[in-house]
Amino acid sequence: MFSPLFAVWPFVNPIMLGWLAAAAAPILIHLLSKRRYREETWAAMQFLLAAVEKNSRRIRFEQLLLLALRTLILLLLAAALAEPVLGPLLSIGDRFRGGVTHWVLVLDGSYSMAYREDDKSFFETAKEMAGKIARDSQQGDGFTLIIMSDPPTVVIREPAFDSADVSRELDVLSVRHGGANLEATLAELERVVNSARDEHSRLTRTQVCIFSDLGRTTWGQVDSASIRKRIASLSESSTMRLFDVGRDGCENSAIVNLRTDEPVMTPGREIRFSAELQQFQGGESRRRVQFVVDGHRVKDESVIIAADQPASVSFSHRFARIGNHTVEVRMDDDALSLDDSRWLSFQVRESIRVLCIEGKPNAAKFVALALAPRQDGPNPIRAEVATEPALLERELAEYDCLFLCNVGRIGREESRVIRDYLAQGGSMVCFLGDQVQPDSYNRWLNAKDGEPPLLPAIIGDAQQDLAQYGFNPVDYRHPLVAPFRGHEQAGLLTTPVWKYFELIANPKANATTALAFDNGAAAIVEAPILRGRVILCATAGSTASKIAPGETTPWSAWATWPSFPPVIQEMLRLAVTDRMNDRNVKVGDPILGIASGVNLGDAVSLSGPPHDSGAEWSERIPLTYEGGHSRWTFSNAYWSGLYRAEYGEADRVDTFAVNVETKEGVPSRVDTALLPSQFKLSDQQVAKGDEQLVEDAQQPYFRHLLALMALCMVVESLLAWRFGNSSA
Amino acid sequence: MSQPETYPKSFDPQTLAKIRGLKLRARHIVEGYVSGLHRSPYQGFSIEFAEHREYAQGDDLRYLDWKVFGRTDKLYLKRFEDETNLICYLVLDASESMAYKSDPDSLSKFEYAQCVAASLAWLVLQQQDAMGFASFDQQIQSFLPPTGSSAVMKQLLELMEQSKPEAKTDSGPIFHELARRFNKRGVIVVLSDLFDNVDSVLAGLKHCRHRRHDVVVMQILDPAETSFPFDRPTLFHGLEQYPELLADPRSLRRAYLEEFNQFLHAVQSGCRGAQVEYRQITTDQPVDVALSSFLNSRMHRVR
Repeated sequence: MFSPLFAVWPFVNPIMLGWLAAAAAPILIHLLSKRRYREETWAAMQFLLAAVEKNSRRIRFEQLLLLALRTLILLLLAAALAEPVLGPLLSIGDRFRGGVTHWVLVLDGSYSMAYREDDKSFFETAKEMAGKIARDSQQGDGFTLIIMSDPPTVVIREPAFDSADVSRELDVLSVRHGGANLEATLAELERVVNSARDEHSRLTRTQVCIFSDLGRTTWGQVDSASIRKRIASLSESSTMRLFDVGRDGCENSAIVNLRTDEPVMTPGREIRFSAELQQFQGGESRRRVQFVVDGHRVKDESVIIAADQPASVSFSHRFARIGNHTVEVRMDDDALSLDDSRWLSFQVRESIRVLCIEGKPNAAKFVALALAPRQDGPNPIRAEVATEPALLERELAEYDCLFLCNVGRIGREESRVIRDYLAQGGSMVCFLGDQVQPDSYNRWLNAKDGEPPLLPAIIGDAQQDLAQYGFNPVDYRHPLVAPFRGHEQAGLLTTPVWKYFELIANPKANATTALAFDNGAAAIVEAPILRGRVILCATAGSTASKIAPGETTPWSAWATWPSFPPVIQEMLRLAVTDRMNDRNVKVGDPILGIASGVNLGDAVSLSGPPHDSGAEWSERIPLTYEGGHSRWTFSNAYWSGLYRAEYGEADRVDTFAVNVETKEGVPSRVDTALLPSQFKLSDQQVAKGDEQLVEDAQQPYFRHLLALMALCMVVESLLAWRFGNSSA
Repeated sequence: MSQPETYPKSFDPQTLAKIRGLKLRARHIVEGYVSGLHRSPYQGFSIEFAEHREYAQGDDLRYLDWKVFGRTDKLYLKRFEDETNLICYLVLDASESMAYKSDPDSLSKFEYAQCVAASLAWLVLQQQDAMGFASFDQQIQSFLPPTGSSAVMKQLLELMEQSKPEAKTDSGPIFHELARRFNKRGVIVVLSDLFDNVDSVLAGLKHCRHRRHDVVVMQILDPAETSFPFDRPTLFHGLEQYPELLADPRSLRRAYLEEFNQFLHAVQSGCRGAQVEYRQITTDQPVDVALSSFLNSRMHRVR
């Protein structure tokens, strides 16, 4: 064990210095030998006396030399048993020269570090070891503390010169619930090391100590060229030590998904939720799963998770009241409990509001009908039809989805409100038609430099050959048309289309062709844009668009075809599902909130699951005004769980669910052979034991002492033989 | 006289040490020694002859008197007209340093020297030659004038047995004194460790040589004195009034041996310079080996 006196006393086991008393043995033996002797009558005394007279000084010198050597041998043995380290002595010298060590402690903060073993998590082990290094450091050493997360968190940037400060910071640290970005951490490391070197010239040595479980998710790219380059660069100025606190053969089961297939949530409607469970490594396991709705357990069942395929469990629930609701699914805890719970946050609304803008009379009629077939009774979807000016006049934020039907021209203002709407998380479906001026669409919705396009495709020329086209479902891969799989007679394939605009997928957008024409041209292209989604249909959504002035043939008869209502419903479902994603983010992603109707002077009070301090927390987040709305952003959602935003006097509450990215829970580890040679790797036993961790700066020198002792013994034997036994 | 057959036919010091009394030891050596030789050692001491002597096995045939053989059919050795008897002077160091023995079961230097002296005396008297004796420490302890009577042997043994090595030595003046006392030329055999002032000792020996004596120095040493085998701290009690010394022998060994070898070298080279025959004998050496080595070398010198 380290001695508390270690900082001033250069021995690991100073108690062993008691053996120094043994160094008195040769002196005592020497003195005793003067008292214990044999007696001999001697005739040739004159020669003996002459020898003594001539050699007394030499003999005394030889005896003293041998005595000193024998004493030194025992002193060295005692010193070796006490395991001296040079660190304190060096530090004294360093202080004279003004040079000390800069310790950069890097703790892997990925959530796999929460894996518990022997009632202690890997992260706790890492904290203990880092604390040990801090405690055992020398007076004057500086410390920087970094959490390897995504993005990396620098807990102590300016070197702290009091190890107690480091220990206090370490004490309150808890493992993040996200992953870790190795390359970004190394980049941050470089900045910290260089900055410390520039500003603290006496920090002449740098020791980078990384504590990690070597999970493949974090370290998988360690042999990439860019990471190797950074490590090589760092190792030129630092000693890099990697402490492996994990182990092979860990097993883990996780809830990898929780979702609902019914995004349109209205009171009394049965909503089905399903969760997916997966076993990472190890064999089949039986787990107990609970569903909790708004804090109340509603279902409890036992599930068998096979080793090689995920298991699914589901339940249905009817919500009686409108407002925020949460569903949690949780398993009984295993060694890594962070991924044994998952949350879903959503709003149950009176109805889903859709604004249909028509650029021509009746252009939105069929869309509105497809959305809300019953106009008189209760309807979960409220579709409002309006003319083009409504696009600028209405408060779009109140609508869940916006349908543009044959809107002729898009101008600057229209593009602004659409951008704002999409930035809030709104979604837009755009049907083209005979009123559409594609140039205005392309100019204002597609061609803005430096900003993402607002349409998934560039609108080309209208197709001119006036032939009849049908739809090609592209293997029913896209959710919009997936319900038609196995229902070829449902009308999708027979839908007649006579005219359409050519759609050229925008390379800047992550566009997908959901439906094509039978000639291969894109019929529906969609892409996630800003925080919403835009679905662009190449043809008209009504029969009001005619193929030419005076002609009666519409662009398409699809609006009257049986395949039209299901596709419109799926479009709305897709759009609303995206809106639900605003409330359900992954750890590390920012939480974005819209505070409609809240004064800019008010701040949002956000509370969430306990993190580093281990206690409940609440943080006031200022509002910013953008796009006609007050909004707020929280970027530090590094802990999974439910976050609650309260909007002051507005008496409004929003709930957000932050879930872990379960790929981090896969307990496979990187092959240590792939690690760059610059890393000095300490294995788990060393890491968890009481061995000297700060070996480089505080090298145990007992081996050298033992070697010196052996040398002294050889020299002593030779001298003793030379002095005593060699013949003249 | 005890039955010599009861004693082992061995002359190593440990064996001799078991035999009580110098007389028995001497007889054991000489009888065993003579019976082990094929040639008589008598001639080795003869430098002058006065009469015929009956041939004995081992005599050199060159000295046979063939005329007598022709007349009497008996073998006699030819002797010269003007020859006189050999006189052998045995000089025994009885100083305290001669009492040292490193092995309690072996002979001290003094005892060893006694054995050698008695053996030589026996051989000389057996050869009808004359033998004189002196023992000394700081002064001459006992003195026996040279005589050829075989009865002197008993007197010699008694004198040697009465001698106790207790006092300090002072060899140089003693040798001068003896040189004056030994007025007839002869062979002086000095049995001593010579632990004394080398120059003084050599001066005395040179004096003897000056008196035309044939001088033989037999330096009797204990093996411990030549090897200094001690390895534990030891309190050395000095003999001959030297002080005590507590020392670590291991650290002193090299220096002691240097001093000791310097001393031996000085003695050897001094003897060689004074034409004194030098022989070094350690008390772990079997007595017969020491004697035969000495007598053989004398025999070759005479020839």
